[in-house]
Amino acid sequence: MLETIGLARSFGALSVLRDVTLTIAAGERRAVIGPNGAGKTTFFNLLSGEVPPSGGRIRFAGQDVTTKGVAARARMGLARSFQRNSLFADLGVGANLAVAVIEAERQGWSLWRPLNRRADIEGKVAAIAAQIGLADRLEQPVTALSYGAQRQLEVGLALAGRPKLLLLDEPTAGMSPDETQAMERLIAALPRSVTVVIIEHDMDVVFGLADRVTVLDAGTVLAEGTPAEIRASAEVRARYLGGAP
Amino acid sequence: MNADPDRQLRWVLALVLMAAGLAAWASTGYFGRSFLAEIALWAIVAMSLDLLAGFAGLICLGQALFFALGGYAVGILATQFGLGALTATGLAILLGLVAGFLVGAVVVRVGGVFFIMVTLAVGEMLHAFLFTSRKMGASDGLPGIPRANLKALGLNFDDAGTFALVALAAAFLVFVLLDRLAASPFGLVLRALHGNETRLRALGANLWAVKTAVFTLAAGITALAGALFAQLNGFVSPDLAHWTVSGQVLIIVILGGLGSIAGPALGAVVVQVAAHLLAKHTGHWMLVLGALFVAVVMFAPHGLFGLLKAGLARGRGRHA
Repeated sequence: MLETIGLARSFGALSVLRDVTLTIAAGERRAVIGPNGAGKTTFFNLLSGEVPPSGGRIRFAGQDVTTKGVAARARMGLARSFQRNSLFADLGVGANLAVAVIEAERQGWSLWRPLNRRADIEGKVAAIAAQIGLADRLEQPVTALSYGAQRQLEVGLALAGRPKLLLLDEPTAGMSPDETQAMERLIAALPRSVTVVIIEHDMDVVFGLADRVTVLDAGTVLAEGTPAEIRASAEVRARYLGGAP
Repeated sequence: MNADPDRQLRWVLALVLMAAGLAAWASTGYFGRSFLAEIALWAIVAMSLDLLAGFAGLICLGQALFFALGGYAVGILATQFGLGALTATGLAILLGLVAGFLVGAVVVRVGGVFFIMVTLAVGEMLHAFLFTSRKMGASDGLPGIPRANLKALGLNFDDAGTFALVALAAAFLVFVLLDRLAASPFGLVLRALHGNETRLRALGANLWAVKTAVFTLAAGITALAGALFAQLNGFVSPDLAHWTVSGQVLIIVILGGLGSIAGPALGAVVVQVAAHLLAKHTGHWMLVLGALFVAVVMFAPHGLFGLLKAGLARGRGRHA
Protein backbone atom coordinates (compact mmCIF):
# COMPACT_ATOMS: atom_id res chain seq x y z
CA MET A 1 0.00 0.00 0.00
CA LEU A 2 2.77 2.37 0.97
CA GLU A 3 6.45 2.18 0.29
CA THR A 4 9.25 4.65 0.91
CA ILE A 5 12.67 4.22 -0.58
CA GLY A 6 15.60 6.12 0.88
CA LEU A 7 13.34 8.96 1.96
CA ALA A 8 15.24 11.98 3.26
CA ARG A 9 14.51 15.52 4.31
CA SER A 10 16.79 18.23 5.54
CA PHE A 11 16.00 21.78 6.55
CA GLY A 12 19.11 23.73 5.60
CA ALA A 13 22.06 21.95 7.19
CA LEU A 14 19.78 20.10 9.59
CA SER A 15 19.07 16.58 8.41
CA VAL A 16 15.73 15.59 9.92
CA LEU A 17 15.17 12.30 8.09
CA ARG A 18 17.76 10.07 6.43
CA ASP A 19 17.31 7.01 4.28
CA VAL A 20 13.91 5.92 5.58
CA THR A 21 12.99 2.79 3.66
CA LEU A 22 9.92 0.87 4.66
CA THR A 23 7.00 -1.05 3.22
CA ILE A 24 3.53 -1.10 4.71
CA ALA A 25 1.11 -3.77 3.52
CA ALA A 26 -2.53 -3.12 2.67
CA GLY A 27 -4.69 -3.36 5.76
CA GLU A 28 -1.73 -3.20 8.12
CA ARG A 29 -1.72 -1.22 11.36
CA ARG A 30 1.70 0.33 11.67
CA ALA A 31 2.85 2.37 14.61
CA VAL A 32 5.71 4.84 14.29
CA ILE A 33 7.34 5.58 17.61
CA GLY A 34 10.43 7.39 18.71
CA PRO A 35 11.61 10.19 20.96
CA ASN A 36 10.63 13.82 20.35
CA GLY A 37 12.55 15.22 17.41
CA ALA A 38 13.04 11.79 15.83
CA GLY A 39 11.36 13.06 12.66
CA LYS A 40 7.99 11.33 13.02
CA THR A 41 5.82 14.29 12.06
CA THR A 42 8.21 15.28 9.27
CA PHE A 43 7.84 11.71 7.99
CA PHE A 44 4.05 12.19 7.92
CA ASN A 45 4.40 15.57 6.22
CA LEU A 46 6.47 13.89 3.49
CA LEU A 47 3.91 11.09 3.10
CA SER A 48 0.97 13.48 2.85
CA GLY A 49 2.84 15.86 0.56
CA GLU A 50 2.87 18.90 2.86
CA VAL A 51 6.67 18.92 2.68
CA PRO A 52 8.64 17.80 -0.40
CA PRO A 53 11.41 15.29 0.29
CA SER A 54 15.06 16.19 -0.22
CA GLY A 55 15.68 12.71 -1.55
CA GLY A 56 14.11 9.29 -2.02
CA ARG A 57 10.78 8.11 -3.39
CA ILE A 58 7.29 7.47 -2.10
CA ARG A 59 4.98 4.90 -3.65
CA PHE A 60 1.33 4.80 -2.68
CA ALA A 61 -1.34 2.45 -4.00
CA GLY A 62 0.92 1.29 -6.80
CA GLN A 63 1.91 4.76 -8.00
CA ASP A 64 4.96 6.93 -7.49
CA VAL A 65 3.52 9.97 -5.71
CA THR A 66 6.81 11.65 -4.78
CA THR A 67 6.07 14.77 -6.82
CA LYS A 68 2.30 14.83 -6.33
CA GLY A 69 0.74 17.60 -4.22
CA VAL A 70 -1.26 17.31 -1.02
CA ALA A 71 -4.66 17.53 -2.70
CA ALA A 72 -3.79 15.00 -5.42
CA ARG A 73 -2.64 12.45 -2.83
CA ALA A 74 -5.77 13.10 -0.79
CA ARG A 75 -7.92 12.39 -3.84
CA MET A 76 -6.04 9.09 -4.30
CA GLY A 77 -7.22 8.05 -0.85
CA LEU A 78 -4.54 9.27 1.52
CA ALA A 79 -5.98 11.03 4.56
CA ARG A 80 -4.33 12.40 7.66
CA SER A 81 -5.14 13.84 11.02
CA PHE A 82 -2.94 16.54 12.43
CA GLN A 83 -0.89 16.50 15.62
CA ARG A 84 -2.50 19.79 16.58
CA ASN A 85 -6.20 19.98 15.83
CA SER A 86 -6.76 21.50 12.42
CA LEU A 87 -10.50 22.06 12.20
CA PHE A 88 -12.81 24.64 10.64
CA ALA A 89 -13.25 26.61 13.83
CA ASP A 90 -16.02 28.92 12.63
CA LEU A 91 -18.20 26.09 11.34
CA GLY A 92 -20.35 23.66 13.30
CA VAL A 93 -19.44 20.02 13.95
CA GLY A 94 -21.76 18.78 11.20
CA ALA A 95 -20.52 21.41 8.75
CA ASN A 96 -16.93 20.38 9.46
CA LEU A 97 -17.74 16.79 8.56
CA ALA A 98 -19.81 17.96 5.58
CA VAL A 99 -16.76 19.73 4.12
CA ALA A 100 -14.81 16.49 4.35
CA VAL A 101 -17.66 14.47 2.82
CA ILE A 102 -18.16 17.02 0.02
CA GLU A 103 -14.49 16.81 -0.92
CA ALA A 104 -14.43 13.03 -0.66
CA GLU A 105 -17.51 12.71 -2.86
CA ARG A 106 -16.17 15.28 -5.36
CA GLN A 107 -19.20 17.51 -4.72
CA GLY A 108 -17.16 20.68 -4.19
CA TRP A 109 -18.35 22.03 -7.54
CA SER A 110 -22.00 21.44 -6.84
CA LEU A 111 -23.20 25.03 -7.05
CA TRP A 112 -26.94 25.07 -7.04
CA ARG A 113 -28.77 22.54 -4.87
CA PRO A 114 -28.67 23.68 -1.23
CA LEU A 115 -26.78 21.47 1.16
CA ASN A 116 -29.82 20.98 3.40
CA ARG A 117 -31.53 19.21 0.51
CA ARG A 118 -28.62 16.85 -0.02
CA ALA A 119 -29.71 13.78 1.90
CA ASP A 120 -26.76 11.88 0.42
CA ILE A 121 -24.25 14.21 2.08
CA GLU A 122 -26.22 14.47 5.30
CA GLY A 123 -26.44 10.69 5.53
CA LYS A 124 -22.69 10.28 5.22
CA VAL A 125 -22.09 13.05 7.77
CA ALA A 126 -24.42 11.29 10.22
CA ALA A 127 -22.62 7.98 9.67
CA ILE A 128 -19.18 9.41 10.44
CA ALA A 129 -20.54 11.38 13.38
CA ALA A 130 -21.90 8.12 14.81
CA GLN A 131 -18.56 6.41 14.18
CA ILE A 132 -16.62 9.06 16.12
CA GLY A 133 -19.23 9.38 18.87
CA LEU A 134 -20.43 12.89 18.03
CA ALA A 135 -23.82 11.99 16.53
CA ASP A 136 -25.80 14.16 18.93
CA ARG A 137 -23.54 17.20 18.60
CA LEU A 138 -23.80 18.01 14.89
CA GLU A 139 -25.36 21.42 15.44
CA GLN A 140 -22.83 22.58 18.00
CA PRO A 141 -20.00 24.93 17.15
CA VAL A 142 -16.59 23.29 17.18
CA THR A 143 -15.52 25.62 19.96
CA ALA A 144 -18.17 24.12 22.25
CA LEU A 145 -16.48 20.70 22.10
CA SER A 146 -14.03 19.49 24.73
CA TYR A 147 -10.46 19.01 23.60
CA GLY A 148 -10.95 15.26 23.42
CA ALA A 149 -14.11 15.61 21.32
CA GLN A 150 -12.29 18.00 18.98
CA ARG A 151 -9.61 15.34 18.66
CA GLN A 152 -12.29 12.83 17.66
CA LEU A 153 -13.60 15.27 15.08
CA GLU A 154 -10.04 15.70 13.81
CA VAL A 155 -9.91 11.95 13.12
CA GLY A 156 -13.47 12.08 11.75
CA LEU A 157 -12.43 14.58 9.08
CA ALA A 158 -9.72 12.18 7.95
CA LEU A 159 -12.14 9.25 7.97
CA ALA A 160 -14.82 11.02 5.95
CA GLY A 161 -13.20 10.23 2.63
CA ARG A 162 -13.14 6.50 3.41
CA PRO A 163 -9.40 6.60 2.76
CA LYS A 164 -7.19 3.73 1.66
CA LEU A 165 -4.45 4.98 3.92
CA LEU A 166 -5.01 6.87 7.14
CA LEU A 167 -2.16 8.72 8.83
CA LEU A 168 -2.93 9.53 12.46
CA ASP A 169 -0.50 11.92 14.12
CA GLU A 170 -0.72 11.37 17.90
CA PRO A 171 -4.51 10.98 17.98
CA THR A 172 -4.58 10.60 21.77
CA ALA A 173 -2.23 13.48 22.57
CA GLY A 174 -3.49 15.49 25.52
CA MET A 175 -6.48 13.22 26.12
CA SER A 176 -7.80 11.96 29.42
CA PRO A 177 -7.57 8.15 30.03
CA ASP A 178 -11.27 7.75 29.19
CA GLU A 179 -10.93 9.75 25.99
CA THR A 180 -7.82 7.76 25.07
CA GLN A 181 -9.73 4.51 25.46
CA ALA A 182 -12.57 5.82 23.31
CA MET A 183 -10.09 6.81 20.60
CA GLU A 184 -8.40 3.41 20.83
CA ARG A 185 -11.74 1.68 20.37
CA LEU A 186 -12.52 3.94 17.42
CA ILE A 187 -9.25 3.07 15.68
CA ALA A 188 -9.52 -0.62 16.53
CA ALA A 189 -12.99 -0.71 14.97
CA LEU A 190 -11.81 0.62 11.59
CA PRO A 191 -12.24 -1.92 8.80
CA ARG A 192 -9.17 -3.65 7.42
CA SER A 193 -9.85 -2.00 4.07
CA VAL A 194 -8.10 0.99 5.63
CA THR A 195 -4.37 0.87 6.16
CA VAL A 196 -3.47 2.81 9.29
CA VAL A 197 -0.17 4.42 10.18
CA ILE A 198 -0.17 5.96 13.63
CA ILE A 199 2.35 8.11 15.45
CA GLU A 200 1.78 7.56 19.14
CA HIS A 201 3.52 8.07 22.44
CA ASP A 202 1.12 6.02 24.53
CA MET A 203 2.71 2.54 24.48
CA ASP A 204 -0.52 0.86 25.60
CA VAL A 205 -2.20 2.23 22.50
CA VAL A 206 0.76 1.27 20.30
CA PHE A 207 1.04 -2.29 21.52
CA GLY A 208 -2.72 -2.70 21.58
CA LEU A 209 -3.29 -1.62 17.97
CA ALA A 210 -0.19 -2.17 15.89
CA ASP A 211 0.63 -5.19 13.76
CA ARG A 212 4.14 -3.85 13.30
CA VAL A 213 6.11 -1.04 14.88
CA THR A 214 8.76 1.19 13.32
CA VAL A 215 11.09 2.97 15.70
CA LEU A 216 12.51 6.25 14.41
CA ASP A 217 15.49 7.78 16.16
CA ALA A 218 17.41 10.84 15.06
CA GLY A 219 15.87 10.64 11.60
CA THR A 220 16.64 7.03 10.81
CA VAL A 221 14.87 3.70 11.29
CA LEU A 222 16.32 2.25 14.47
CA ALA A 223 14.24 -0.91 14.44
CA GLU A 224 11.17 -2.47 12.90
CA GLY A 225 9.22 -5.51 13.96
CA THR A 226 6.17 -6.91 15.67
CA PRO A 227 5.20 -5.32 18.98
CA ALA A 228 6.69 -8.34 20.79
CA GLU A 229 10.00 -8.00 18.93
CA ILE A 230 10.17 -4.28 19.62
CA ARG A 231 9.41 -4.78 23.29
CA ALA A 232 12.17 -7.37 23.47
CA SER A 233 14.74 -5.30 21.59
CA ALA A 234 17.52 -4.22 23.90
CA GLU A 235 18.45 -1.34 21.64
CA VAL A 236 14.93 0.11 21.58
CA ARG A 237 14.62 -0.26 25.33
CA ALA A 238 17.90 1.54 25.83
CA ARG A 239 17.15 4.36 23.40
CA TYR A 240 13.47 4.92 23.86
CA LEU A 241 11.28 2.71 25.98
CA GLY A 242 13.49 3.09 29.03
CA GLY A 243 13.80 0.78 32.01
CA ALA A 244 16.43 -1.85 32.76
CA PRO A 245 16.95 -4.53 30.09
CA MET B 1 -27.39 19.66 10.09
CA ASN B 2 -27.73 23.35 9.41
CA ALA B 3 -24.54 24.38 7.59
CA ASP B 4 -25.85 27.82 6.59
CA PRO B 5 -27.62 29.17 9.68
CA ASP B 6 -27.95 32.77 8.44
CA ARG B 7 -29.90 31.93 5.34
CA GLN B 8 -33.34 32.76 6.73
CA LEU B 9 -32.34 36.18 8.07
CA ARG B 10 -30.49 36.87 4.81
CA TRP B 11 -33.71 36.35 2.88
CA VAL B 12 -35.77 38.44 5.28
CA LEU B 13 -33.35 41.34 4.94
CA ALA B 14 -33.23 41.02 1.15
CA LEU B 15 -37.02 41.07 0.89
CA VAL B 16 -37.27 44.04 3.25
CA LEU B 17 -34.69 45.90 1.17
CA MET B 18 -36.59 45.11 -2.03
CA ALA B 19 -39.85 46.28 -0.47
CA ALA B 20 -38.18 49.47 0.73
CA GLY B 21 -36.72 49.98 -2.74
CA LEU B 22 -40.12 49.60 -4.39
CA ALA B 23 -41.72 51.94 -1.83
CA ALA B 24 -39.01 54.52 -2.50
CA TRP B 25 -39.54 54.07 -6.22
CA ALA B 26 -43.26 54.73 -5.89
CA SER B 27 -42.78 57.86 -3.81
CA THR B 28 -40.05 59.66 -5.77
CA GLY B 29 -39.53 61.23 -9.15
CA TYR B 30 -36.72 61.34 -11.68
CA PHE B 31 -33.82 62.11 -9.34
CA GLY B 32 -34.99 59.77 -6.63
CA ARG B 33 -35.35 56.92 -9.09
CA SER B 34 -31.94 57.55 -10.65
CA PHE B 35 -30.45 57.52 -7.15
CA LEU B 36 -32.29 54.29 -6.40
CA ALA B 37 -30.78 52.72 -9.52
CA GLU B 38 -27.32 53.85 -8.45
CA ILE B 39 -27.78 52.31 -4.98
CA ALA B 40 -28.93 49.03 -6.56
CA LEU B 41 -25.80 48.93 -8.72
CA TRP B 42 -23.51 49.54 -5.73
CA ALA B 43 -25.38 46.80 -3.91
CA ILE B 44 -24.54 44.43 -6.78
CA VAL B 45 -20.84 45.31 -6.57
CA ALA B 46 -20.90 44.95 -2.78
CA MET B 47 -22.59 41.53 -2.94
CA SER B 48 -20.08 40.27 -5.49
CA LEU B 49 -17.17 41.46 -3.37
CA ASP B 50 -18.81 39.77 -0.38
CA LEU B 51 -18.59 36.48 -2.24
CA LEU B 52 -14.82 37.01 -2.43
CA ALA B 53 -14.06 38.74 0.85
CA GLY B 54 -16.82 37.48 3.10
CA PHE B 55 -17.15 33.90 1.97
CA ALA B 56 -13.79 32.91 0.54
CA GLY B 57 -11.80 35.32 2.72
CA LEU B 58 -10.12 36.88 -0.32
CA ILE B 59 -9.86 40.57 0.58
CA CYS B 60 -9.78 42.10 -2.88
CA LEU B 61 -8.91 45.78 -3.15
CA GLY B 62 -9.16 45.85 -6.94
CA GLN B 63 -12.86 45.38 -7.59
CA ALA B 64 -12.94 48.78 -9.34
CA LEU B 65 -10.94 47.14 -12.13
CA PHE B 66 -13.91 45.01 -13.16
CA PHE B 67 -16.43 47.77 -12.51
CA ALA B 68 -14.57 50.10 -14.89
CA LEU B 69 -13.99 47.28 -17.34
CA GLY B 70 -17.74 46.65 -17.59
CA GLY B 71 -18.46 50.35 -17.95
CA TYR B 72 -15.79 51.01 -20.56
CA ALA B 73 -16.68 47.87 -22.50
CA VAL B 74 -20.22 49.17 -22.98
CA GLY B 75 -18.90 52.67 -23.69
CA ILE B 76 -16.43 51.60 -26.37
CA LEU B 77 -18.60 48.93 -27.97
CA ALA B 78 -21.68 51.15 -28.12
CA THR B 79 -20.10 54.45 -29.15
CA GLN B 80 -17.19 53.31 -31.33
CA PHE B 81 -18.30 49.94 -32.69
CA GLY B 82 -21.96 50.76 -33.05
CA LEU B 83 -23.16 47.75 -31.11
CA GLY B 84 -26.47 47.91 -29.29
CA ALA B 85 -26.04 48.57 -25.59
CA LEU B 86 -27.80 45.31 -24.76
CA THR B 87 -25.32 43.25 -26.79
CA ALA B 88 -22.53 45.40 -25.35
CA THR B 89 -23.74 44.60 -21.83
CA GLY B 90 -23.58 40.89 -22.57
CA LEU B 91 -20.08 41.25 -23.96
CA ALA B 92 -19.08 43.38 -20.96
CA ILE B 93 -20.08 40.56 -18.59
CA LEU B 94 -18.16 38.08 -20.74
CA LEU B 95 -15.13 40.38 -20.73
CA GLY B 96 -15.42 40.69 -16.96
CA LEU B 97 -15.45 36.91 -16.60
CA VAL B 98 -12.46 36.46 -18.91
CA ALA B 99 -10.49 39.26 -17.22
CA GLY B 100 -11.49 37.88 -13.82
CA PHE B 101 -10.17 34.47 -14.79
CA LEU B 102 -6.89 35.82 -16.18
CA VAL B 103 -6.24 38.11 -13.21
CA GLY B 104 -7.59 35.62 -10.66
CA ALA B 105 -5.54 32.70 -11.96
CA VAL B 106 -2.42 34.69 -11.08
CA VAL B 107 -3.30 36.73 -8.01
CA VAL B 108 -4.93 33.93 -5.99
CA ARG B 109 -1.52 32.30 -5.81
CA VAL B 110 -0.39 34.93 -3.33
CA GLY B 111 -1.91 35.07 0.12
CA GLY B 112 -2.74 37.48 2.91
CA VAL B 113 -1.67 41.08 2.72
CA PHE B 114 0.12 40.43 -0.58
CA PHE B 115 -3.19 39.47 -2.16
CA ILE B 116 -4.62 42.83 -1.08
CA MET B 117 -1.64 44.70 -2.48
CA VAL B 118 -1.52 42.81 -5.77
CA THR B 119 -5.24 43.32 -6.45
CA LEU B 120 -4.80 47.01 -5.60
CA ALA B 121 -1.88 47.25 -8.02
CA VAL B 122 -3.73 45.55 -10.87
CA GLY B 123 -6.67 47.91 -10.43
CA GLU B 124 -4.39 50.92 -10.46
CA MET B 125 -2.79 49.68 -13.68
CA LEU B 126 -6.14 49.91 -15.45
CA HIS B 127 -6.76 53.34 -13.94
CA ALA B 128 -3.39 54.58 -15.23
CA PHE B 129 -4.12 53.15 -18.67
CA LEU B 130 -7.62 54.68 -18.91
CA PHE B 131 -6.32 58.02 -17.64
CA THR B 132 -3.69 58.28 -20.37
CA SER B 133 -5.19 56.42 -23.32
CA ARG B 134 -6.56 58.79 -26.00
CA LYS B 135 -8.67 56.01 -27.46
CA MET B 136 -10.36 55.57 -24.09
CA GLY B 137 -11.02 59.29 -23.79
CA ALA B 138 -8.13 59.78 -21.34
CA SER B 139 -9.01 61.88 -18.30
CA ASP B 140 -12.23 63.12 -19.93
CA GLY B 141 -13.73 59.65 -20.21
CA LEU B 142 -16.33 58.57 -22.75
CA PRO B 143 -19.60 60.53 -23.08
CA GLY B 144 -22.75 59.73 -25.03
CA ILE B 145 -23.23 56.12 -23.99
CA PRO B 146 -26.73 54.95 -24.99
CA ARG B 147 -28.96 52.69 -22.95
CA ALA B 148 -29.95 49.20 -23.97
CA ASN B 149 -33.00 48.82 -26.17
CA LEU B 150 -35.47 46.73 -24.20
CA LYS B 151 -38.48 47.35 -26.45
CA ALA B 152 -38.68 43.62 -27.09
CA LEU B 153 -39.58 43.29 -23.42
CA GLY B 154 -41.96 46.20 -23.69
CA LEU B 155 -39.67 48.39 -21.60
CA ASN B 156 -38.37 51.88 -22.24
CA PHE B 157 -34.93 51.76 -20.66
CA ASP B 158 -34.43 55.50 -21.22
CA ASP B 159 -37.09 56.15 -18.62
CA ALA B 160 -35.51 56.70 -15.17
CA GLY B 161 -38.22 54.70 -13.45
CA THR B 162 -37.87 51.70 -15.74
CA PHE B 163 -34.11 51.78 -15.41
CA ALA B 164 -34.41 51.81 -11.62
CA LEU B 165 -36.78 48.82 -11.66
CA VAL B 166 -34.44 46.86 -13.92
CA ALA B 167 -31.49 47.73 -11.66
CA LEU B 168 -33.47 46.58 -8.60
CA ALA B 169 -34.42 43.37 -10.38
CA ALA B 170 -30.77 42.80 -11.35
CA ALA B 171 -29.69 43.30 -7.73
CA PHE B 172 -32.33 40.84 -6.56
CA LEU B 173 -31.28 38.26 -9.16
CA VAL B 174 -27.67 38.62 -8.06
CA PHE B 175 -28.80 38.09 -4.46
CA VAL B 176 -30.71 34.93 -5.41
CA LEU B 177 -27.72 33.61 -7.36
CA LEU B 178 -25.24 34.26 -4.55
CA ASP B 179 -27.64 32.97 -1.90
CA ARG B 180 -27.98 29.68 -3.76
CA LEU B 181 -24.24 29.52 -4.17
CA ALA B 182 -23.71 30.18 -0.47
CA ALA B 183 -26.15 27.45 0.52
CA SER B 184 -24.64 24.90 -1.88
CA PRO B 185 -21.79 22.48 -1.17
CA PHE B 186 -19.53 24.93 -3.03
CA GLY B 187 -20.55 27.68 -0.60
CA LEU B 188 -19.55 25.55 2.38
CA VAL B 189 -16.20 24.82 0.73
CA LEU B 190 -15.68 28.58 0.38
CA ARG B 191 -16.27 29.12 4.09
CA ALA B 192 -13.96 26.22 4.87
CA LEU B 193 -11.35 27.84 2.65
CA HIS B 194 -11.72 31.02 4.67
CA GLY B 195 -11.25 29.14 7.90
CA ASN B 196 -8.42 26.67 7.28
CA GLU B 197 -6.67 26.29 3.94
CA THR B 198 -4.22 23.63 5.14
CA ARG B 199 -6.99 21.30 6.21
CA LEU B 200 -9.08 21.90 3.11
CA ARG B 201 -6.10 21.02 0.93
CA ALA B 202 -5.48 17.87 2.98
CA LEU B 203 -9.09 16.89 2.26
CA GLY B 204 -8.33 16.97 -1.45
CA ALA B 205 -9.60 20.38 -2.59
CA ASN B 206 -7.86 22.22 -5.40
CA LEU B 207 -7.57 25.61 -3.70
CA TRP B 208 -6.33 27.40 -6.80
CA ALA B 209 -9.34 26.26 -8.81
CA VAL B 210 -11.82 27.23 -6.08
CA LYS B 211 -10.28 30.67 -5.58
CA THR B 212 -9.98 31.35 -9.30
CA ALA B 213 -13.61 30.34 -9.80
CA VAL B 214 -14.97 32.78 -7.18
CA PHE B 215 -12.68 35.52 -8.38
CA THR B 216 -13.96 35.01 -11.94
CA LEU B 217 -17.60 34.98 -10.90
CA ALA B 218 -17.24 38.08 -8.71
CA ALA B 219 -15.52 39.88 -11.59
CA GLY B 220 -18.34 38.99 -13.99
CA ILE B 221 -21.02 40.26 -11.62
CA THR B 222 -19.10 43.47 -10.93
CA ALA B 223 -18.69 44.01 -14.68
CA LEU B 224 -22.49 43.75 -15.04
CA ALA B 225 -22.88 46.52 -12.45
CA GLY B 226 -20.27 48.60 -14.29
CA ALA B 227 -22.06 48.09 -17.61
CA LEU B 228 -25.35 49.27 -16.12
CA PHE B 229 -23.60 52.16 -14.36
CA ALA B 230 -22.27 53.40 -17.72
CA GLN B 231 -25.82 53.34 -19.11
CA LEU B 232 -27.27 55.01 -16.04
CA ASN B 233 -24.96 58.00 -16.40
CA GLY B 234 -24.42 57.84 -20.15
CA PHE B 235 -20.81 58.43 -19.34
CA VAL B 236 -17.71 56.69 -17.97
CA SER B 237 -14.50 58.18 -16.63
CA PRO B 238 -11.22 56.78 -15.27
CA ASP B 239 -12.58 57.53 -11.78
CA LEU B 240 -14.53 54.26 -12.02
CA ALA B 241 -11.22 52.37 -11.90
CA HIS B 242 -9.74 54.39 -9.05
CA TRP B 243 -8.71 52.41 -5.99
CA THR B 244 -10.95 54.58 -3.79
CA VAL B 245 -13.92 52.91 -5.51
CA SER B 246 -12.56 49.50 -4.49
CA GLY B 247 -11.93 50.85 -1.01
CA GLN B 248 -15.42 52.26 -0.67
CA VAL B 249 -17.00 48.99 -1.75
CA LEU B 250 -14.86 47.09 0.74
CA ILE B 251 -16.02 49.50 3.45
CA ILE B 252 -19.62 48.92 2.38
CA VAL B 253 -19.13 45.15 2.63
CA ILE B 254 -17.50 45.28 6.07
CA LEU B 255 -20.08 47.78 7.32
CA GLY B 256 -22.92 45.58 6.06
CA GLY B 257 -21.44 42.37 7.43
CA LEU B 258 -18.93 40.07 5.76
CA GLY B 259 -20.37 36.84 4.39
CA SER B 260 -24.03 37.78 4.76
CA ILE B 261 -24.76 38.86 1.13
CA ALA B 262 -27.85 40.88 2.08
CA GLY B 263 -25.80 42.75 4.70
CA PRO B 264 -23.50 44.36 2.12
CA ALA B 265 -26.60 45.34 0.09
CA LEU B 266 -27.88 47.09 3.23
CA GLY B 267 -24.42 48.61 3.63
CA ALA B 268 -24.67 50.03 0.11
CA VAL B 269 -28.00 51.65 0.98
CA VAL B 270 -26.70 53.10 4.25
CA VAL B 271 -23.46 54.48 2.78
CA GLN B 272 -25.08 55.93 -0.34
CA VAL B 273 -28.00 57.52 1.53
CA ALA B 274 -25.73 58.82 4.30
CA ALA B 275 -23.32 60.27 1.75
CA HIS B 276 -26.21 61.90 -0.08
CA LEU B 277 -27.71 63.44 3.06
CA LEU B 278 -24.42 64.46 4.62
CA ALA B 279 -23.12 66.01 1.41
CA LYS B 280 -25.98 68.49 1.62
CA HIS B 281 -24.73 69.78 4.96
CA THR B 282 -20.99 69.34 4.92
CA GLY B 283 -18.15 68.83 2.50
CA HIS B 284 -16.56 66.53 5.07
CA TRP B 285 -19.08 63.73 4.80
CA MET B 286 -16.31 61.19 4.25
CA LEU B 287 -15.11 62.08 7.75
CA VAL B 288 -18.47 61.14 9.25
CA LEU B 289 -18.61 57.91 7.26
CA GLY B 290 -15.08 57.13 8.39
CA ALA B 291 -16.05 57.55 12.03
CA LEU B 292 -19.10 55.31 11.49
CA PHE B 293 -16.87 52.69 9.90
CA VAL B 294 -14.42 52.75 12.80
CA ALA B 295 -17.29 52.39 15.27
CA VAL B 296 -18.73 49.41 13.40
CA VAL B 297 -15.39 47.64 13.08
CA MET B 298 -14.66 48.15 16.79
CA PHE B 299 -18.05 47.42 18.30
CA ALA B 300 -19.82 45.29 15.71
CA PRO B 301 -17.25 43.19 13.87
CA HIS B 302 -20.01 41.34 12.03
CA GLY B 303 -21.41 44.60 10.70
CA LEU B 304 -25.01 45.69 10.45
CA PHE B 305 -26.09 42.14 9.66
CA GLY B 306 -24.44 40.95 12.86
CA LEU B 307 -26.20 43.67 14.86
CA LEU B 308 -29.51 42.67 13.34
CA LYS B 309 -28.90 39.03 14.18
CA ALA B 310 -27.86 39.78 17.75
CA GLY B 311 -30.85 42.10 18.21
CA LEU B 312 -33.27 39.44 16.98
CA ALA B 313 -31.68 36.78 19.18
CA ARG B 314 -32.02 39.06 22.20
CA GLY B 315 -35.64 39.85 21.34
CA ARG B 316 -36.40 36.16 20.98
CA GLY B 317 -34.71 35.46 24.29
CA ARG B 318 -36.93 38.01 26.02
CA HIS B 319 -40.12 36.53 24.63
CA ALA B 320 -39.14 32.93 25.30
